[in-house]
Amino acid sequence: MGTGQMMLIILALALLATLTLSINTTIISKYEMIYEAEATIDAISIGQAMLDEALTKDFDEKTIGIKITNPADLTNYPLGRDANDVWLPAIDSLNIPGTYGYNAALPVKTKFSSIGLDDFDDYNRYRRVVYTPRMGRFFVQDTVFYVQEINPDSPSSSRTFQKKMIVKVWHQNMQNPLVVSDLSIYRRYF
Amino acid sequence: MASMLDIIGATIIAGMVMLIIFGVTANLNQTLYTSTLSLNVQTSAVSLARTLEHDFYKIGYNVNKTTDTSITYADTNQIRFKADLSNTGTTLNRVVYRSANLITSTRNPRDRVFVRRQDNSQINAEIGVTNFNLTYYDVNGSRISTPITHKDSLAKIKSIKVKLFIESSEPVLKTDNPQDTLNSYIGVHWEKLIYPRNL
Repeated sequence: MGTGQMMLIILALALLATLTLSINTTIISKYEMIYEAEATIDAISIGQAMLDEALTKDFDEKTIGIKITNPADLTNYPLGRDANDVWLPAIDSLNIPGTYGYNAALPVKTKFSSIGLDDFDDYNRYRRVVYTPRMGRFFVQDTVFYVQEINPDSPSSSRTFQKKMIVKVWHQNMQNPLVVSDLSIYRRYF
Repeated sequence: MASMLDIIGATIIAGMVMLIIFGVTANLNQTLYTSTLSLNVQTSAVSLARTLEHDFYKIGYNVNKTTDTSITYADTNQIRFKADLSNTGTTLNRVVYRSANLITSTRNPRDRVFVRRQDNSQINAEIGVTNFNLTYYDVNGSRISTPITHKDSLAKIKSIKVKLFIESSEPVLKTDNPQDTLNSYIGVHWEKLIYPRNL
């Protein structure tokens, strides 16, 4: 076999190797998309559950059991947990022996850390780590702020009868965090 | 002698090339098969989740709380409730969700028939549900022991955690242990803590 023929064979093998590598890259990308889609499905439900949970609470600390008509009577910035509220660190998924998905490697947990939060804006800067049996840990962070009543997409520096919560959910399989949001409007509590 | 060496060398190189091509083709087929089944499973999970959310958020809608109960039976794999799903204002629908018998027509040994019954209409879905689990919580977020049958205990339910696990009907994933057939199915887990507004 001459040197020329040998060079041609080496070149052909190099081309074949390049093609194989690119195909393998495509395959890996496909698997990444599958896992990202699966993580996104879980992240959406986790984010929506967080919104639902916060919306079951009162609109404001100052409106618990009382009706007010002046927005200046509401809690002022900075929003966040009240002095008597308790947050717990670490994984915040319910983990109860005898129930489906119970993980013996994690601490037993029968209540969410947010059990002490009694109104919507207590969730500002609230963080939770949610564990799912298949996808592992999801990281959740909430932001709550007042919004302008004529334009609920714009934050308001003053107190109004509308608050917005933005929930961000991260997972290692997701390239970007998932963001869901909802409004809490005081009149719905009348 | 030289031509003999050429033939042997060419044969070895041809064999290597063919092995590479076979390997790539096998990987491509495996990926195609996995992604197709994964898409099916994820689509089923999302469809089922949307149906569950549609119904569960309406539990107790238009039910007179003083004379009637919204949830009539609650267990880990079954729930029966009432709701005016069509917003008629007069007619309450009786809805049952439960996982039923194992499906024998697929190779997956764990998938079960998923049943949704609304009044006299029943749907038996064979979409690979291998686990349907419900957990119930009171107003303080404390778990209520199941089964819940007493009226007073049923009235305490304020939120429901729904967990679903859906798997492919056929095995697809390669595992380290060839005997491990249980982990060779692709699956999707979905869970949500639902707060029905009318409880």
